[in-house]
Amino acid sequence: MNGEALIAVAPPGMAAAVEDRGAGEPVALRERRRAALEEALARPPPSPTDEAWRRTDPRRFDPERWPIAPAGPLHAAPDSPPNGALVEPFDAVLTVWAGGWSLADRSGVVRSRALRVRPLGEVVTSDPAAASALWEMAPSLGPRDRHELWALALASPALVIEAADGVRLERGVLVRSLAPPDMLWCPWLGVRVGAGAALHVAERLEVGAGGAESAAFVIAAIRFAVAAEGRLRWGRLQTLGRGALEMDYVFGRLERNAQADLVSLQVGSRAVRSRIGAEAAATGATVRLGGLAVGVARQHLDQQTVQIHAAPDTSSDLLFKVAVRDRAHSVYRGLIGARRGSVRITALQRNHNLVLNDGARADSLPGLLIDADDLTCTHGATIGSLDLEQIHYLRSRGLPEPVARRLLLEGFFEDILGRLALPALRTAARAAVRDHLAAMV
Amino acid sequence: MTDARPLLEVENLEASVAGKPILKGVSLSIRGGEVHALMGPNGSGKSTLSNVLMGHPDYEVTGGAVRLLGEDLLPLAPEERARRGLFLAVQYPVAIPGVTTVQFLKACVEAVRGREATKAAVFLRELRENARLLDLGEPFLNRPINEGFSGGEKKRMEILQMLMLKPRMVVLDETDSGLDIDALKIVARGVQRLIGPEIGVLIITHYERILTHLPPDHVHILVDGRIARSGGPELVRELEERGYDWVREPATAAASEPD
Ligand SMILES: Nc1ncnc2c1ncn2[C@@H]1O[C@H](COP(=O)(O)OP(=O)(O)OP(=O)(O)O)[C@@H](O)[C@H]1O
Ligand SMILES: [Mg+2]
Repeated sequence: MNGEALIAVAPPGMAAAVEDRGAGEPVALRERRRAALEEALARPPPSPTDEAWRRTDPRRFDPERWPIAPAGPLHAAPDSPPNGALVEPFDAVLTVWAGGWSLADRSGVVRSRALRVRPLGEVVTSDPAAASALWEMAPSLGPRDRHELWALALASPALVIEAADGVRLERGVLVRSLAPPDMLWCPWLGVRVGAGAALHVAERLEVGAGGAESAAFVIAAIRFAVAAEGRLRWGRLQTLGRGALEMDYVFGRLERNAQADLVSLQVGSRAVRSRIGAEAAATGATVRLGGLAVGVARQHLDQQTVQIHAAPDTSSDLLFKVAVRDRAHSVYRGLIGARRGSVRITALQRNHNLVLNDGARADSLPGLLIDADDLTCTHGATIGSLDLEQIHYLRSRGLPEPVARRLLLEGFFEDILGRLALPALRTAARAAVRDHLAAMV
Repeated sequence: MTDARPLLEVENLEASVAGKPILKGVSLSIRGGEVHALMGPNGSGKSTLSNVLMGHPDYEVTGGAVRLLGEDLLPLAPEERARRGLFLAVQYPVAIPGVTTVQFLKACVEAVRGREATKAAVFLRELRENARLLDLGEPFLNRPINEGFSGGEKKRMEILQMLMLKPRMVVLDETDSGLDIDALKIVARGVQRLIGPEIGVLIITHYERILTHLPPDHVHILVDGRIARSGGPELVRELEERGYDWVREPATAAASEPD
């Protein structure tokens, strides 16, 4: 399909935006963008009767009602919100905004070529197989979501972080994603961890300074490729303002004996729809997935996780915790898939929900797609409220009830925060949870 | 030396749980510097009394009065009672997942004793010193409080909390139950550390042993929600020898006796 034909059917501005982004890129990437747009347009828009949208009204996530954030190198970095985490000794800080990106090489790791950050277009040219592996990775088991296709077509900036074989970057890379207020923004991030390398990444997604309370619509695509014996620890804290919409498609693939520890921290936004998963693609791969989500006021949190075992001797361990208050609503769906012939698999999935008052609601839907016969699979879900004995115990030690409740909630999330590799992110997440619960009563 | 005014006064206290009357008129008066022991058969209402004193929401006070240093305790929330100096070492300590002992104690000490007491250096020194006295090693301080602790460790943790909160009036609900001989001595040592002319102690127990370490001035025997007998330390001996039938109401005792 050519550009003009697209303009006829795409929402106003959409096709032009896709062409605009592809203009300076290799043809192969431009074609992929167009293909994604075409596929998105060929799909019927999501409807509340679709299984995947049964509990989340798709009208809340209508990208056609939002102006698309302009891309290109013309736009300077927005002022960043103050960020205490910046004083931490990260190896590097990558700042990403709608118009571009910048990289601060704090410990010389970029200079020494241990760490590299470059546009996806460059990877497409120099390493087409790796680029296409990142691009094609899919977090869902069925056909791609229409929103995910939008995100691919409009991806900008599309960047790849690469840790060279054998390097250890444990002081970490901080990724600051600054969403433009009142626009649709689709950042795309690929992370490649080389053979035997160790990389820690902390991402903070927030609205650029001055816009903290503004609306924003972010559809983020994040892909990990962890090579044999590599190790990735990644955490992402989303603290967009209360008018924001956040969708993410996070997926990783692990080679032989690779390890990934992925933690998603969903604190902000009016509505969240998150798809996160990983595939243990080769023998010995180990995946840990952690999630924390806090919903207050009328927040809607829709999270789906996928653990795929495509090889023998692989293990996955998932723990997702959710707390909802006021009239917030959470939906969690956990999928575990194992390919036939994948023997000696251990898959663990736990989802614990705290419903803090009557008007709030949490649903938990496990889904096992098992096609393997030698597998130890444990899954469990709980939905409950704060324990009254615990509250009384704390009060009898002098803590007022609200303080007691807050301490219990923090304790509830502590094992998720304990999964974060970088203390700066842990501190930020703890503060974000606390502020969120305090501010939005 | 002792304050003319009692530290804790319980007057004709009646309370029920789930609509069932448990305490049927309990009176006690404890002055600063005194140690009282409360004994009585299982189910007689000892824990109910301690829970009512602390303001547990499951228990409904249906009559009587409780005063701490002359102030009516009953309208106060549990945290207000704690801040006025009441401390209950509970029979079944509660685990708080994800909250370490240090974190927990810091929050509690700040709430009860004020911010001054939680200044990093002072607080940690005091905490370590008390933990050492109770033979609780550093790892306990950094573990979620009471989670996976053994029965005896939980009891020592209650005493650690007591020492850190510096209460005026302490109720120990079977803190000695389930302790080995050494742990019992350690717990007694902890309580002795606190005891002084200003402090009142009520020890709820089934056993004589803890009372040899913490000799009571007064002993009360609770039977079916009433203090059936009060006296000096000699009561403990008599109980050991004669059992509870001896103190049960004559009517009940007579009825259960064959002619
Ligand atoms: N929360 C509660 N719900 C229902 N019944 C209760 C509750 N707490 C106490 N009771 C009942 O009240 C009565 C007194 O119980 P309590 O725990 O006060 O006894 P106790 O003297 O402490 O016994 P023990 O020596 O076994 O510890 C018992 O019959 C008990 O079952
Ligand atoms: Mg009892």
